[in-house]
Amino acid sequence: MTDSIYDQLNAHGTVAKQRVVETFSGDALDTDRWSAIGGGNGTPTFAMDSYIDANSGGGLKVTAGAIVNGDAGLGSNDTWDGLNIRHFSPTGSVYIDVFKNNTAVSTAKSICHGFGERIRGDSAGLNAAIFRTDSRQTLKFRVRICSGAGSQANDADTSMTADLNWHSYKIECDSTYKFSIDGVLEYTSPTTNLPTGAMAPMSGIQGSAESTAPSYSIKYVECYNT
Amino acid sequence: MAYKQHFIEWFSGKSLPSYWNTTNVTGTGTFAMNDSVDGGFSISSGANANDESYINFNNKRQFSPTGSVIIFVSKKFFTGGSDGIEMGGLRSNITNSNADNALLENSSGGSEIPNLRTSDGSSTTKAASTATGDTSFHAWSITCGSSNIILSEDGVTEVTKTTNRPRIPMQPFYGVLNSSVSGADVVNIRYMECYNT
Repeated sequence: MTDSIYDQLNAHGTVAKQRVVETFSGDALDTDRWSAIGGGNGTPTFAMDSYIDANSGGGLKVTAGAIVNGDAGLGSNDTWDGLNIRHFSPTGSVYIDVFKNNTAVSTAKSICHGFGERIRGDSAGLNAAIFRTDSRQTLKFRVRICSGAGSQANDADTSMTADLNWHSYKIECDSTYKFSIDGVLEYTSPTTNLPTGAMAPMSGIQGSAESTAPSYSIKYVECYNT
Repeated sequence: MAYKQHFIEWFSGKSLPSYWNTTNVTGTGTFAMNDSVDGGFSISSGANANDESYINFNNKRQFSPTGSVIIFVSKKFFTGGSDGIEMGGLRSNITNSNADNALLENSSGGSEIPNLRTSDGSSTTKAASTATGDTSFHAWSITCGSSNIILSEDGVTEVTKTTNRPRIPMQPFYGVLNSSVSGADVVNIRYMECYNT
């Protein structure tokens, strides 16, 4: 007898909450599920990469235009800074991805990925919980939480110096927010200055003054409410 | 054992994937992702009695009438039993309600109670569950076997039906039939899985 995936993901009798799994495989990005757009600075590209899980690539590659502040984003709204389709709770959800920066921290003001209410690449706004790097900050992988009021009081470094390798990232949203990289808990937030509105998976990039077309790659996203 | 057809849909993201077909059998319904926590995908019927709107596979029938399972997590927004009917499951033809099918009919005939409805292409009959209908999300499953059809709600077997079982391949579908004149009826779905056994 074939088993259902449902029964493997949920305890018997449970009414499953929202979940999504994206494997970023195939000829092209699923643009029914995702919006892939720029913010008006340069012409971004979104292309499936032809590599086997290598640190040189794989999954979907997102590249900002080679222009000052070139930007690109992946979300669920066709308008830059528009509200995503927000299925995930600020007080009971999990975001997981497998992600890599392709260019040095110095090449982008922001490379970000996680939950956010809007599609944008600058790591700002309301209601977001993201991993990021920032050319204006340290050379570490960093975390940022944007509260419902826009506070970024929970900015922090992780212990990891940013590199160009694939890593698995996890954000657990509850009464506190927990950020893990490769299974290691890197940051636990206080209970204050947290998102209060619903969120959606997103990622994005905002270049720097170097005009070098910075990029990132992503090959897995899973989100679910708990 | 060779892999058999297996389909899963999360109903999350920007829009409904293009492998789904949307059909307004009667009237003009609306189909849209719901921008809310756990909201999934929303289908609203037209505002008139007998308006009906469904998502389906455009009659691409990959699932067995005698060895398949469909699971879906969904809810209806209307109450009263005589308003609308939430319908989901497997059917062979999306515009012919009497073609071979095995589906949830929730609810109808003035009763809030969910039903299992089946058709063998000639006769359509239904059997009531013992569950009390409501407007909460529920996990429904319909198991099509060689000797019976089983409807379960939230892991509990509610109906085992042996009469008028479907005989030909079917497709997954989900939607709503407006059975009153009190305006549009709305249903939401956030998960569907369908596979041959």
